[in-house]
Amino acid sequence: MDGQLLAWWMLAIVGSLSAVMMVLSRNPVHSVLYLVANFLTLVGIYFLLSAPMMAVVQFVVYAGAIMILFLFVVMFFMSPEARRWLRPEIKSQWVFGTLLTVMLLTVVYIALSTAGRVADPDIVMGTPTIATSDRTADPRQELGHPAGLGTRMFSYHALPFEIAGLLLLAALLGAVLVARDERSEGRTHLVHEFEKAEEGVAEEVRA
Amino acid sequence: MAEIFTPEIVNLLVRGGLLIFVLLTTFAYLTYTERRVLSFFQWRLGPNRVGPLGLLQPLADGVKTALKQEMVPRKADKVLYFLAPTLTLSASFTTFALIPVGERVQMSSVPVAILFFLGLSSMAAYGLILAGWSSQSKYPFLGSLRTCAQVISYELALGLCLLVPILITGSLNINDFGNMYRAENWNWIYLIVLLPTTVLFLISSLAETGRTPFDLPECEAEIVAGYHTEYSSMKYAMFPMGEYIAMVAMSAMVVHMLLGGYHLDLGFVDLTYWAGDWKLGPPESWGWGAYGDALSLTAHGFATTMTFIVKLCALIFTFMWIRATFPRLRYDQLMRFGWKWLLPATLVLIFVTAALVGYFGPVHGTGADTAAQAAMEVTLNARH
Repeated sequence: MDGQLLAWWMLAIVGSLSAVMMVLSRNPVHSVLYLVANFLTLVGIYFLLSAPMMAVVQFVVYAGAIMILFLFVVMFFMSPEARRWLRPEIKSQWVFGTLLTVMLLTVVYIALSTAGRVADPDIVMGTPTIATSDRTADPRQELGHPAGLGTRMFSYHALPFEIAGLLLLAALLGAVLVARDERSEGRTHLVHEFEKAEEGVAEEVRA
Repeated sequence: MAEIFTPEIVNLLVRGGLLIFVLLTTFAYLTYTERRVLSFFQWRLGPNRVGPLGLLQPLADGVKTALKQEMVPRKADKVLYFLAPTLTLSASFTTFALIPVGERVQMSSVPVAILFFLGLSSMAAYGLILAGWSSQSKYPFLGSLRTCAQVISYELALGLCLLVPILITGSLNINDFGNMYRAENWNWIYLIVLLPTTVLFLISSLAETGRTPFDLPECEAEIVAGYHTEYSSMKYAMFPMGEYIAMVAMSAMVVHMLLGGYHLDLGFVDLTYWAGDWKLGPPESWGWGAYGDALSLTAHGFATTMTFIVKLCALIFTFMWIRATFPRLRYDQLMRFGWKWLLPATLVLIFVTAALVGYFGPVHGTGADTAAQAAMEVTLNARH
């Protein structure tokens, strides 16, 4: 067994375990950390696929920035003394969960089988390999080099990129709208009234 | 099992061990230096009792910390409580594996090192946040919330500041930052953006490492000692350790960004090349072969490393100077400054840089000394 394969198996096992534990964990902070562990194993797998750029972006953006934000939000809503952790139960969540899993696996299978490399099971089981499409001569070069990635993203895929940006902006505005609590706005209004009243009292006292 | 210990692996392990040893010693003497320097700023003497000039103080401190009783809060989340200091420390140490400290003196040369640097700095922040949360106690929790908000706010500015030299050099390799001043097509006009960028980087790195004007995570007047209130003994010591190493790493980045990295190039003469490239290290007669490579260095590499260390010391002194000079910010001031001033300023700088690069063209840092590097390559290859 060569080192790469060994590393892949280790990463795959730890990654799957942390993903499962993320779902099963009753403590939201633990869930966040299991997700971080999962992302870190993904970083390793990207490196094995000789896509260092992808790996590093996964490391900085997901494992670093986004998950810290997650942790912050989760911690904001959970006092350290809380004894009872989150137990979200959606009606018939097992049914929907299974259905979604089956759908996802189908999509993954179709994607892999149409990419051409999955046909030979030895390749899939033997060495971890990226499903390469025939269109690009050397996809590793493009994945690995920031310059190639950037050129491709901002020239060939400029429109999807901009649309994704717009979508994020819309989500941001939506979040602001949801977070804008009307009660608190009323409260600031009340505060103004209160200040006015106080001023009135002060004037009366002065008079 | 024998083929596992190939010269490459052994050399990597030896170099890693050396790096950790050097960093730990650096930490020990940084605490001493900081106390002394702050004392001189405040017209005091500082620790001068243990050994000549108090130079053995770090040793005494270390022994004292290690022998302290260790207390763990009963309600603490045990696993995370133990994990948090380790995470902070190991992330800070790993940062140094990426930073070149001399010409060809570097643990590993990752082509996308800058991004890794940013990622590792947020990994260190995880440790601080989890330390406060896992203690399951009020003040540490408040401290960790503060850390979290602060790190998220200032990390943005930190990353955007690094974008300026990245735009100028068109490279994500830290080596190229220091080399850009020596490039053939280097243009002094870039200093217009590099100078303010470095100042902003310095400010945001102060916030990122939680040093004085921004040390709200451990603001003793409000929240005892912040996230590490419930930590004692060596586990406590690991936090300042991580903090100091992170500070050194940030200073190293500034050296690469503005001070020309490890070069001592005056334009008409490059002083480090005078050292020549004869080998320092275990002699051939010892018969260590390729196993001795981790310990061997060319004289040129040694000279550049020394240059780098001198520049680094100057910057670390600046960090201490700032600590002695500025009072702590209030929390709302911190947030307002970070979001309403620092972030827009870095964005403006990036726009200006992009315009300059568009007009004058990017600087290719490795272009200038290709001849010298080729010579080095030849000597290196000849040795193997």
